[in-house]
Amino acid sequence: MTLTEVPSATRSFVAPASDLLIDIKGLRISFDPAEARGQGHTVVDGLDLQLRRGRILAIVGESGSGKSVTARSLLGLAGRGARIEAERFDIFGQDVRRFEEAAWRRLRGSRIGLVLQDALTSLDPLRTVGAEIDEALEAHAARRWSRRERTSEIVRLLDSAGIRDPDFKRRQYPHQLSGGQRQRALIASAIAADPDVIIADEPTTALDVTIQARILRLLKEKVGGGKGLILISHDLSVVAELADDIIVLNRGKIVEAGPARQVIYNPANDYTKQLIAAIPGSHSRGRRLSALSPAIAAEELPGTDAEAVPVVRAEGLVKWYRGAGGEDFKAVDGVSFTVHAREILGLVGESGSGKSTIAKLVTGLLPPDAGTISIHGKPWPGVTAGERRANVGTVQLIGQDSLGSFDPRYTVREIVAESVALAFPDRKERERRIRELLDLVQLPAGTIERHPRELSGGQRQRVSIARALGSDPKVLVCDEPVSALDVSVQAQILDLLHDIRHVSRTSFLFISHDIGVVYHLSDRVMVMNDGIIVEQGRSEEVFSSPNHSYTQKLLEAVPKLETERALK
Amino acid sequence: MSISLTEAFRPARPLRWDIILSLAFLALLAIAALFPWLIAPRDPLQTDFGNALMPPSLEHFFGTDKLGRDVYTRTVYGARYSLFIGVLSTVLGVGLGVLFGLIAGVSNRLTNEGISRFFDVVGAFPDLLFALVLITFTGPGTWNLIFAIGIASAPRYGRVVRAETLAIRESEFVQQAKLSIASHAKVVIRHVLPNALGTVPVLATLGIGSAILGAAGLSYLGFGPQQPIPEWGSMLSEARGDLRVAWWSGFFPGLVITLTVISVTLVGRYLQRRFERRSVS
Amino acid sequence: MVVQSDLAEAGIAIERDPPPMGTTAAGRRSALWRFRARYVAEKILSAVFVLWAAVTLSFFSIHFAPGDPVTLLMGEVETPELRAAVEEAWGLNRPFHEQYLSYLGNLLHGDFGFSFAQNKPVNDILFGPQLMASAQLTAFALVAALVIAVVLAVLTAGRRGFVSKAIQLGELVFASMPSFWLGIVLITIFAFNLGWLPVTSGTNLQKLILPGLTLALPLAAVLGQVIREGIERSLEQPYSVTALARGIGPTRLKYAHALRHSLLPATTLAGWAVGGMLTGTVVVEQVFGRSGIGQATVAAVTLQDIPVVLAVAMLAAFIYVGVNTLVDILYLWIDPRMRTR
Repeated sequence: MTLTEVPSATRSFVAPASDLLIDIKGLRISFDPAEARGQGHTVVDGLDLQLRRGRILAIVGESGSGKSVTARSLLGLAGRGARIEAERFDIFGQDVRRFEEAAWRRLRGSRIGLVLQDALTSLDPLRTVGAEIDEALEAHAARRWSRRERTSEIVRLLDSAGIRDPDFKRRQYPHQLSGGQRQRALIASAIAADPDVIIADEPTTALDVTIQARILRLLKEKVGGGKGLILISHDLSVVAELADDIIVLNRGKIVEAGPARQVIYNPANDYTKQLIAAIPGSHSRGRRLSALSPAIAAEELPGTDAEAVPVVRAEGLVKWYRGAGGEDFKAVDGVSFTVHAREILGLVGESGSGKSTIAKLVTGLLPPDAGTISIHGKPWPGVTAGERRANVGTVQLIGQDSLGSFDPRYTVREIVAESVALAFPDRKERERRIRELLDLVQLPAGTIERHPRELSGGQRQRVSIARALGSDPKVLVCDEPVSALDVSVQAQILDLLHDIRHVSRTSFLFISHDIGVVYHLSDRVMVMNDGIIVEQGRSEEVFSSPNHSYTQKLLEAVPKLETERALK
Repeated sequence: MSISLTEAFRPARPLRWDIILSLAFLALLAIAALFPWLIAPRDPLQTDFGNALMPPSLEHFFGTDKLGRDVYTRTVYGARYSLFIGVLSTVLGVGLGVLFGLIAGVSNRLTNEGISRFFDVVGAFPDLLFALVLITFTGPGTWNLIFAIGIASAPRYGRVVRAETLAIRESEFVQQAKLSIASHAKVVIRHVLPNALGTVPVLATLGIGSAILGAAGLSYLGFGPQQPIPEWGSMLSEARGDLRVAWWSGFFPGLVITLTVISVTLVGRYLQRRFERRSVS
Repeated sequence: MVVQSDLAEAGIAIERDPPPMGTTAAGRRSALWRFRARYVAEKILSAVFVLWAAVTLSFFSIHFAPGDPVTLLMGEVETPELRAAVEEAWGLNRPFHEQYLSYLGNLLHGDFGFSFAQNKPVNDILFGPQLMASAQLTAFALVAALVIAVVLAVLTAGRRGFVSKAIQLGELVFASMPSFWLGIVLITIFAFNLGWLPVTSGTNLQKLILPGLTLALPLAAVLGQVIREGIERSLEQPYSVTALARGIGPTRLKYAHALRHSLLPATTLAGWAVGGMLTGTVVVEQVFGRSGIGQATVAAVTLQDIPVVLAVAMLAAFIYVGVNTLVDILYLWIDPRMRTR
């Protein structure tokens, strides 16, 4: 018996006879300027939404589309100063437009459950997982349950969410569980009071792709029991496998809505088409992802893309790390690879695989504990101090966190000038080169005097790329350069990197956890797991017929937007 | 990526009138410190036994003390001592603290640990007590007070600067800079130091407040500028016996101290917020 | 179950726990205790080192301060017989390291030396009923400050209204006022004008209230601010949204979630707070004419009685370092994130 099977006298919601759980028409959410920081504006305009039992509805949009606000408004948690208007806003047949806080509270948890991304911050780190679930039970308990009854219910919930050894785990804190287990615990706490609707806001964004697949499967399972699921994501491919219906949002307006197959394989709206075209993967190799045409005036270099001349040679790299508990472990355990001239070598792996360490080793920021790296036959970064000094600028890095990678006091000009100074000691030449580079990365001239914090994420990455190219490097290490960007911006940046490759002699080491991105861009690829390279080879070969079982597992877990389309 | 909604909609910035008032008051204080005769025409040392312990009136804004001196005038003239001691001791403390904090932040492990331990040891003595110890050796007086408070406050600044410097050293943009700048020293000079020093003005402004309080306290105990100098703290100490009959002789100097510290604190916090918005961490 | 069947299929552990500290549960537990033991040992050793250095610093300050040590130790009084007595008692005619060792030895026995300015052992001056009186005052003030701070912070956190703005303003004012002024104001209002609370007469508890409040209110102001900011920051975190989404109310959110988070940064202030109380008693005892260590300190500074002042400073240092170390060790239990690493 679950806690919510109680006489209807104590429940304010009667289970609706129809299967229409949520019915919204013309939803408009705006924020009051007095309460909001800065301007008041309309975040969602004219949204229609219907959720039926047993169906999965996906809301897809990029940042600023209003998808998260919409989700939270379904729980009355849109935030301070939010003004919600709608022609119709019915949840379980009740008009919630005039709901008081107390009414919302009865709704939350018991009828609608919320799952956020990244359980490390979405679960209270100072409370045990069991205590968090208990809170949900307590909030909606019909009568006083004994400790034992509640405990066994908590164990049951954890178990049903797929957590091994639930009785032990319930006494653990979120940081003690792995990423996937944490997310499962979060889901367990959201469904504890047996709500009919689950809203999952980017539930898998912080997770590795293999874990992601399992979590999505878990959510789908829960729907099977006659519930409704609203899945919110920026990632169409994640949503494609799971959703029955899809709504696409752009800047608060619905641009497309309908059954999933129709929206994905036969979209009507341009924005949706762009969004789909921007997804990198096996099908997109060799073509541009975004509609922006290349601005590169320089001529393409003749010859094949990747030449056979090896530029970087890494042999037997080993790096130890001191773990948090004091024990050492090998982040990199005997890794060897070669990067050829003008080639893009991809490095793909999940978190903890050691790929970021490889980035630091190749850039020279971290010395290896064993093994060597050489560039054009000479040891890198150099044996003597003199050699090291001469070698500066040979390898450059483009990282993920763009704002943190810039000195907050510097303008764009100063940032790029720092690396350009290596190739152009003369000031006038330097100025000219800086402008050239900014043109190359398609940054408008006005940005040169601005600070990075005034720019958008995509623009900042362009600055990052300009800076990296400034010293005319032989090797460009890209460590998750597009992971923090929206799909459409990501597309532009990937195109940019592609274009740059065609006009320069630089070699790329492209590191990412996103297999689609790596597949799209790289000539050869290495797959890394637990500090070792389990497989490497030409991208098409590795991705179409992987040899190692880990690679196979990885590929299986990747959301399958592409295969279907490739088949078309 | 979804941002916490409640975070995105914090209330609008507080009205600036608190900063305006604070700056105005501080400006007034500056005038009182530099050109006291402009706003207080009387002689602060002029006694008038016939008029002792008179309540506030149009003639004597703050009343008179037990020697018949005008409290308002003495308060105005007293500004220079509190401000002087407060500012100079902060300069001393910040100077020492920042110097050693920076050195600790950019040096190797050994120096870093050494300086950090040193801060721990000196910082183990609570501020005022350490100052008292120093005063015991040097005796009371204005300059001794500056010296004592300055040295006692240095570890506090040093620790913050050291922590900041260490954090910046590990930050991503410093790592990036190493890919374009050959010499470690240049990276430190161009990136680490300027950013670490950025926190100093805020620290100093907030620190002046506690320095002024400390100076007033030590003067109250009798260890500051000696009589008949109208230092605020010692004025309060003098007034102790007369409180039952003449509350004004102690009230106003203390009020002015409070207002000064409030103003400095508000300005300091404002600078802090501006700075945070500008920096990354 | 989803996971087990998949894992069995795959034969590979793709979903794993954070860095395992040993594959067995017992192995993990013993690694945990090793970590804790090392942490505690580090903290204690560090504390001992700091205290030893502080004591040594005091010793050197006597011997290397400008002026000859004997004069310093004698304070204001100076006669040839006293000089001989000082030299004898402090062993100033003995080799340096012997003096140092005997100094340390005495300290470990709790003997803080002899005050020549006042012609009594330092322990008599400091560790009599005065110690008790000061300790009572400090304890009262600490408890009062904590209670007031928590109550104010919880009531005002997250609210926008006029009352909470007023309280915030009050916090700023109280944190900015000199304690001796606050004392004077309180005395004037409550003792002289309203006659509610006594200054010099009345029971022990009654006599504690005014000076205790004088000490407590400024500290409460600072603590209140820190705790309130901690609560507000916590309310903005994703886990607060999740908690609200479970259907709990804002009160429960504050008490069961946010308060705990806010107390974490507040405990790091514990050492500073205690240190502040100690120095505060020096002034407050003067204001209220209470006898206690504070008053004895002021007298000693005036007389330039170095042994006494140094003894007080070292006592304060011991307490400060002790409290900080205790808090650091307690952190292992307070913050679950420290419990396993």
